Amino acid sequence: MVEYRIDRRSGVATYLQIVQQTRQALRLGLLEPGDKLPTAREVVEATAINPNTVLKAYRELEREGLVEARRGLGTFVRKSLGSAPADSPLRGELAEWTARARAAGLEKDDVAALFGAVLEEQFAPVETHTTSTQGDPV
Amino acid sequence: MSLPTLRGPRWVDVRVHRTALLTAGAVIALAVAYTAWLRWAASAYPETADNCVVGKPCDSFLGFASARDLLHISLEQGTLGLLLVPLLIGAFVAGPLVARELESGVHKLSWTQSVSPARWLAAKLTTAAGFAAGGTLVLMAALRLGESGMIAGRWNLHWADRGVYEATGPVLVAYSLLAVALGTLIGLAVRRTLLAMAATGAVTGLLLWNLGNIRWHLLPVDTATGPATEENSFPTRFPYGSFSMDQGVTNAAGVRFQEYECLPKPQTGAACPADTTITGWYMDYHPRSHFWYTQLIETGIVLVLTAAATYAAFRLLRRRTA
Amino acid sequence: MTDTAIEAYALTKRFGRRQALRGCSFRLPAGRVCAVVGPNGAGKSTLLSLVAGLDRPGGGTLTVLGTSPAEARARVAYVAQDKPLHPRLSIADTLRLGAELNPGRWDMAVAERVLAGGALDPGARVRTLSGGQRTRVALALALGKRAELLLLDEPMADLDPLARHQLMGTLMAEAAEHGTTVVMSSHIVGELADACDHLLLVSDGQVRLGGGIDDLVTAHALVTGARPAADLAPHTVIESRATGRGVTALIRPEGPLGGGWDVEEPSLEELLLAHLRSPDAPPLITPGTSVPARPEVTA
Repeated sequence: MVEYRIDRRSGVATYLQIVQQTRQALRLGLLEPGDKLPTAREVVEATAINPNTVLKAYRELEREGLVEARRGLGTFVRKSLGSAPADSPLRGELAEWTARARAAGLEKDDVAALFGAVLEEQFAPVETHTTSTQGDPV
Repeated sequence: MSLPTLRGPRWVDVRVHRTALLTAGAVIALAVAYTAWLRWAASAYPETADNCVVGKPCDSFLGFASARDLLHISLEQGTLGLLLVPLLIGAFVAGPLVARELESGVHKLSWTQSVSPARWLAAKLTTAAGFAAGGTLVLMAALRLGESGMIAGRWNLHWADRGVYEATGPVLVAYSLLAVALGTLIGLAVRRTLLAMAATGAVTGLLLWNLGNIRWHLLPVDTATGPATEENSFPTRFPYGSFSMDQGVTNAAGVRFQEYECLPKPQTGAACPADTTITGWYMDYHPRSHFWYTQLIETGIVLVLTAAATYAAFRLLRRRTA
Repeated sequence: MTDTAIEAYALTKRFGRRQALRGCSFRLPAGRVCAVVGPNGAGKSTLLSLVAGLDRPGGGTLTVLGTSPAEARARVAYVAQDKPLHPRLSIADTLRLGAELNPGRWDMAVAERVLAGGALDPGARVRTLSGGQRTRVALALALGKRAELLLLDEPMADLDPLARHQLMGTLMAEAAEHGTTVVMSSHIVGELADACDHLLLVSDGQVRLGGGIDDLVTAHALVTGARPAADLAPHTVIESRATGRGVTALIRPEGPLGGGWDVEEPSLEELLLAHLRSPDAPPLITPGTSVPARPEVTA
């Protein structure tokens, strides 16, 4: 079961934080098809956010085909995302690369900036989930 | 203390004011016990024949002349003390029961439960009325227990005296109920604990005093007359234990006047007839049989005032809340 | 159950010389979590106490859960700003009070769950409690009533951050599970921004902004441009400030903006502050939350 962390100062709309954290959990293999997402009640009790925000996030995930709502049962994961579970070879390569960058004298921020820049380059035209509501793409 | 029969807002009222109710209960129990003990002592230690004669000590019972003497003194104080009961009830209802709840804002809690403000008020009125009437009746019973025929016999325990009169009939219960209604009304209107207590005490006291002044004018008096002379003008032949309203002398024409004002010479300002020859005496009085008539008339008046105050309290509340 | 929790039309209330409400009109759909914000003395508490049936409106009409505030009393729970409780009752007795005064509605389990988070001794008397503990007991009483509409006047003011988060979570969980409409007032926007999806901005006895928070935010734009302020004339300008050669303004676009403007979505806080700084800006009640004008009715 995932637990959502809401960061009030991130500038990212709350519902998007839930969407992104769910995607993250799917990518890392923390959630797999058939798994149940926490109910809206469970999420709001832990995070003190508005129930409609959770429902909006779940609707968004449903629209993307990642989860499905089963009446009276809850919301379940339909498919996994990406192919980079927590212990995949890709992760190992990234860890290796990060170690090399560090050995080369790069600071944490430098590594993050470098990684972010390459990420932007590679994925720039693909991600279009920044819809009309407030919040900037990460 | 378990209160199995009380529900809803009455349970709340009793629970919140438990300490005050227990204290009042203890005081009442103490009064009953004290009276019972004195009655027992009066029969267990009767006055001896040589009690308080010259040359002997006159403190045979706890520094008093006798147990019966102490009982008598206690009754005299007790009847006056009973007059304070409606004042205390009114002050309690006005202050702690009603005004304090409004002053502290707790009414915002009480009025937003599932119980309407009108039911909140009704619960306060009926609970307070129940305890007020019950407590007053028990105290009156204690007085009866101690009195044991003395009210007719002792000069300063006359049936028509202030205190004695109220404490031996239904009027005192009616005054207690009036105090509850007045306390509720004033507490609601004033909304300040101490001010409401003082105002209710004052208003109840004034009503008690003023109605006490007019009660003997609510019923026509009986009149007794007889022949008299200047040497012997004192009334005779009127019922034992009557309550005299007016007495004096008459001349041959039947005109009433006061002997001490008009004889030997009319004093300035006195209403004296030209002929001040005394031919008879007169006396206006209430015989003891009038007790129940005046009690019932006064009780009726007090209950009408109670109803009016209750109505006004509900009107006031209705105007203020949704 | 109607789809409207509260509907107010031309609501007025006067206390002596002070006009606390001067013509409030708005509609709150059921199931929303609504923040009532505004400066101190704006009329927030007066509005809530009228809805709770504690007071009578001076004029206008007020419908609560489809009926009068008095008729709705059993279905509405209210926690006043000063969290009034009987000081001499114990916590356990206070919950019993809730049961006695709400026969047929009271849910002791819910009330006890709210208290459980606070490690409170049920035998402790209310007067010995801290402000935050009192708030917890008052909220337990309100939630135990199982109301359809929950009115909370400055509910979080006395709470430490942990208790605030926990109790807000409990509130939201109740709202999620039972579809309870929640109305919370505050003069601090931040503490309510995440929890609420609806907003009423009250200032000087009137509703300045009313509607879903998303709708209100998207109805406004924060524009910056090196152009004269007069170019914004076709739009409703809430607040504008000269910045260098150009202007920064919060506006309600009434049509396409044209080029040359850098357009951003304002944050909720920016939106509220701009409206509070500009008392003459026209109010905005979003469609679906406004009340159509009607012939004068007096309560």
